[in-house]
Amino acid sequence: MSMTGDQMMITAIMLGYLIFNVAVGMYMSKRQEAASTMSDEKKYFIGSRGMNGLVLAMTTIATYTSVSSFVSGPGATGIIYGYSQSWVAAVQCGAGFLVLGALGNKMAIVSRRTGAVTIAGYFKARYKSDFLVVVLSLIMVGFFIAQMVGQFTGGAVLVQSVTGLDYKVSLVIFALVVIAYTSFGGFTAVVITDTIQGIIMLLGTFLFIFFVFTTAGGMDGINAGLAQNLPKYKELYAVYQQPGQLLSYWVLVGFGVMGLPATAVRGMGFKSTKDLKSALVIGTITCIVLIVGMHVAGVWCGALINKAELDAMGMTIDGMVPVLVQKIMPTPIAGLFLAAPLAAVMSTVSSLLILASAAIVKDLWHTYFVKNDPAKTESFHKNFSKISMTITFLIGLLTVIFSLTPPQIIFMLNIFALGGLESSFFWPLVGGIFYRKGTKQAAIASSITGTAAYILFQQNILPRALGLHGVCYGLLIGGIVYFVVGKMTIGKGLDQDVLDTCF
Amino acid sequence: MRKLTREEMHAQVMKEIKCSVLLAVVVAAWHIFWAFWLGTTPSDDMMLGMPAWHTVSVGGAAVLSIVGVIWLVKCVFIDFEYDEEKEDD
Repeated sequence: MSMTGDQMMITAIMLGYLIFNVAVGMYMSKRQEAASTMSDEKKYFIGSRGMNGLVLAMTTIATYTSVSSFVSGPGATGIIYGYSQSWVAAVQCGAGFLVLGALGNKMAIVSRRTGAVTIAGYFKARYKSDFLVVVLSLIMVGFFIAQMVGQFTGGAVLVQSVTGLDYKVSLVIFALVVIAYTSFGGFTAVVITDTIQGIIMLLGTFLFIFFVFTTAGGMDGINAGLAQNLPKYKELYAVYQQPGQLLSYWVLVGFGVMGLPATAVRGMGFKSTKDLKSALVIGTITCIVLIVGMHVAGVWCGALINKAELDAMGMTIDGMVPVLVQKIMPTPIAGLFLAAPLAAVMSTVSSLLILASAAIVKDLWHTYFVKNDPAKTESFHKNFSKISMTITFLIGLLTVIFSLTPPQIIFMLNIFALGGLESSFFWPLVGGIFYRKGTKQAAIASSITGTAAYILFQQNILPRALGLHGVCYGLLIGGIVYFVVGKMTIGKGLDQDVLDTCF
Repeated sequence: MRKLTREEMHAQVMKEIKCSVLLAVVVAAWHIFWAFWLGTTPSDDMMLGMPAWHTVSVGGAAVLSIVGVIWLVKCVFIDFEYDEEKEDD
């Protein structure tokens, strides 16, 4: 397929942006490597605990926001849900301060005392259970791959829709860039590129709001267009028919995010309490601007395009933002804007990729294959860089292969993985911080029953009262099991070294 | 930067966790209350060009989050050393 002039310009801007990310990620990673005296493991998986406030805020928010925040979510608000979906998205206002405020200092302290560089490393120190580490690492890798497939698919569809390139070619170009800088640059490359991507996302959001607002003719034009295209746009119950459906989001993308390993691990990587405080303010404001801004402007898009027009172009709701942006923005600006959702995808995937790699290399391979064997330990440390890069690359490659047959609804795939991770990790992570009766048996039982309950309810195998999302049942049942089993198995209390390092 | 004992550090961190969760509960209460109070019956009430229930609920939650996080940083979180802890008395 031959490209139009506009498509060539957008492609050039996107390629330039991708190359820029790889170059900066690699350069900063090399610089950090030369400056730090920490071990290779700490450099690769946690960036030598060197993040400042801006980087911490941006990497936390950029990891959390994804293709759903820039493409699927705004598309859903403008084409189907109206302001009710924008209200749901605003639940995430609290995500920034909740994750960093509740977990930041605790993870920083415990990870320094125990030398942990991964979430599983924290579990190992807190619960002293190899079985728990294996179970949670496997759950984590499984769900991360599901999330990465969704993100890669979203990114490739986006590149395809705006450049006219074949889906598979788009996927390979896009995926190779993310895999390259993550594999070679490690955590430092991930957080530095996250920061660039966070800034690009902010810029993209402002551009999107401005052009949608002016093209639609201000609020009068927006409301007139919405009344015609989306008659129920003003209603809270436009599509959601039960309060339970709406309230569930305060669990799924509100309080539940405290249990997400990809965001919690950020607490292990920053420098000081001063940096955490700056990150709290910057992260909260950034999160609100990105999420609320994109979704409110997404509703306004409903005045400019409707479902019938998208259907006629053979597009789903995911096509709304790319189609509209090319229609209402001058081509160079459209290219710049479209770097924003691409940035959202890249930052999420790179963070998941490095964590999945850490789970396999550090938590599974090192702990259970190398163990305390002196010869294997020496060989492991000597070849650490090669092993980490290879594993990261292979996980990325596997994800690309899965992404070749793309799922239809990116949004739902992402949401499914999100609830699964929260149901598995929330109580072992959050409960482990404050509950001194939280034993390894409690953590294992809670993780397994929470995940099982989530799947059974979310798949409607068990009936969901009030239309509540499956994650509400996963967290409720997982929580009850954690406290009850903890009380039953605590015996004479936790080991003294656990009390010393984790409380 | 202050140096804290282990117990002081634990107490400080628990205070930060409780206040962060409390702020999230307050923001959630605002967000949910106003949406359901104003938005459960179809209405033409508008504010800033958008449905009143949405503007009050979402706009208020955003402002409350920013004001709340500034309160957290100024009044709850303190600067202290992670690595060096003074001896417990």
